[in-house]
Amino acid sequence: MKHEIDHLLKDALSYKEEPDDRLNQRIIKTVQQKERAHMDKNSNRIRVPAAALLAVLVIFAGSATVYAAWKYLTLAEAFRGEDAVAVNEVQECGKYRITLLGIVSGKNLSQYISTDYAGNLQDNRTYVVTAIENADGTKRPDTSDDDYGKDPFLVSPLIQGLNPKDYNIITMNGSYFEMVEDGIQYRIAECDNVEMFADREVYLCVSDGNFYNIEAYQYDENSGVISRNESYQGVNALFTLPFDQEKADKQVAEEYLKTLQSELSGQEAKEEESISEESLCNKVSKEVSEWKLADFNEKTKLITEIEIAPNAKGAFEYDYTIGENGMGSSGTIMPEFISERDEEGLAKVRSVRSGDDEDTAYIETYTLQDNGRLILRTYQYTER
Amino acid sequence: MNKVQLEQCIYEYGKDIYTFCTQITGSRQEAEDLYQDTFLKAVELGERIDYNQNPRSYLISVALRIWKNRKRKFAWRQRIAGTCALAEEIETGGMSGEENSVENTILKQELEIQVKNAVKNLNPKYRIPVYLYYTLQLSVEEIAKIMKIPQGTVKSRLYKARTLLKKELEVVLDET
Repeated sequence: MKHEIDHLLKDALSYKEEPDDRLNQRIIKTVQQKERAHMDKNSNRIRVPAAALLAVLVIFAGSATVYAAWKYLTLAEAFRGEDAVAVNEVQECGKYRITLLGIVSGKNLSQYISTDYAGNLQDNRTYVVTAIENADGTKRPDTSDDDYGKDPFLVSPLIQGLNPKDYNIITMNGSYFEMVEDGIQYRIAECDNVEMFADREVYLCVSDGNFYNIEAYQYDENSGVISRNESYQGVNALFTLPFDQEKADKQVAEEYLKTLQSELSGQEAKEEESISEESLCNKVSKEVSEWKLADFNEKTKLITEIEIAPNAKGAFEYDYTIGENGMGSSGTIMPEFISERDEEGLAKVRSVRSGDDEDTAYIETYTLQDNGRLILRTYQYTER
Repeated sequence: MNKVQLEQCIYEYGKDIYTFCTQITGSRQEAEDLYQDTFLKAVELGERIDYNQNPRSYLISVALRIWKNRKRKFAWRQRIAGTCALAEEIETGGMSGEENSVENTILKQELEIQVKNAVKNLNPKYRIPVYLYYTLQLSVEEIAKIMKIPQGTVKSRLYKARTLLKKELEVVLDET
């Protein structure tokens, strides 16, 4: 039966639609026009009077090699203002020397004002300038070189208390522009204004890859603190952005987070899929917290039972799937997670998740044996 | 992404992205808007597409995110006419070039229409993985990354989708 429906779906859905060539040309033309407009603004900026540039250069004194190209950057004007903060902190990560040069936040800071896909102006922004150099003194490839971009970086503000995998420059409407001057790669990263979070720690991460790298950093769910993963072999620089705490605005931050969270979750889709599932899961979670083994045997059906040996850190890693296309689960159980156990040795913590349909939920239980191995049982609960 | 990279991405992945846009929007006009916005957003994000890191999946995830946001914001804007027109075009345009008798061709065409309609009526949480799996032939791992859900959930949604479709297409399946 599965084969039959599989075959039908493959046959019926294997078509490809081709976009009209005019549509493709329109996209390319739009991008070209935007680039041209951006470049025009850049070239205007280059004509900033020498005296004004000098002021900017003084701010960055002490980093002679790095600030030499500063005058070419478009935000020189904004960075001359009172709100700009020069940081000039250097961190070395593997093959790279990374310098956080400075930061500025606020409204209408740049002539280069971006819009989101819906055409809404994004004018209240944070701009962060970093420089990336090869630690061995060789030059970074120029933007016109084939090698440019072969070792991509993500430069992103991160905020204490907000999981960085969900809240980073990509989700906070970010973008960047970049140039290479004298073998030094400069990047101005911009995103929604994060100064409103100044009452927390606000970080800047510079890591390898195009996207946020969960291997490179650690996020402590309890304290909200973000830190470098010391054992990570790649690039994982982490700076603290020195915002003035008085610039924090809890109310605005709260509203911003609400908007962002609803955008991130695609609320509508989420709501329609979670209403019934959540209610069953919640109901089951409340019931099973006090259950003994006999209750599970009586009220549910045992689906799978696996025995797991602890890894080198004493944690239990598991990954299983029930049936060819059935429910799957994977994860790591830390010893402290199952430290509270009842008289039968059953951990008081039980995980409940929704099943394939509205009437089904799956419950995982954990029993630590005397030999140090863990028995993970998965039960199927079906609402009658 | 510079102009050359943009052109390369359009050349290499344009068909896939456009197909996905037509499937999830169900309207030619909205598909074109979404397709254009996907590339513009990718350029705006400033990410230089890394060819070792699956740019096709990245572009599909951008398209999906824009569509989800837009669906929420413009849920009221139904383009009934566009949807019907597109459905017809897709239904008649999807035939492979096998040499069959006229009768077989018509039967096959009719069957494909029924399957497509059944898929179109699925809840998006089942419909999207079906399109990604059967049309774009992405792996469960890639779909999980795009939809930001665990691989087990992708598998169970595909399983559930097939179960729902089997039920919906019961009569057709009995005949085949």
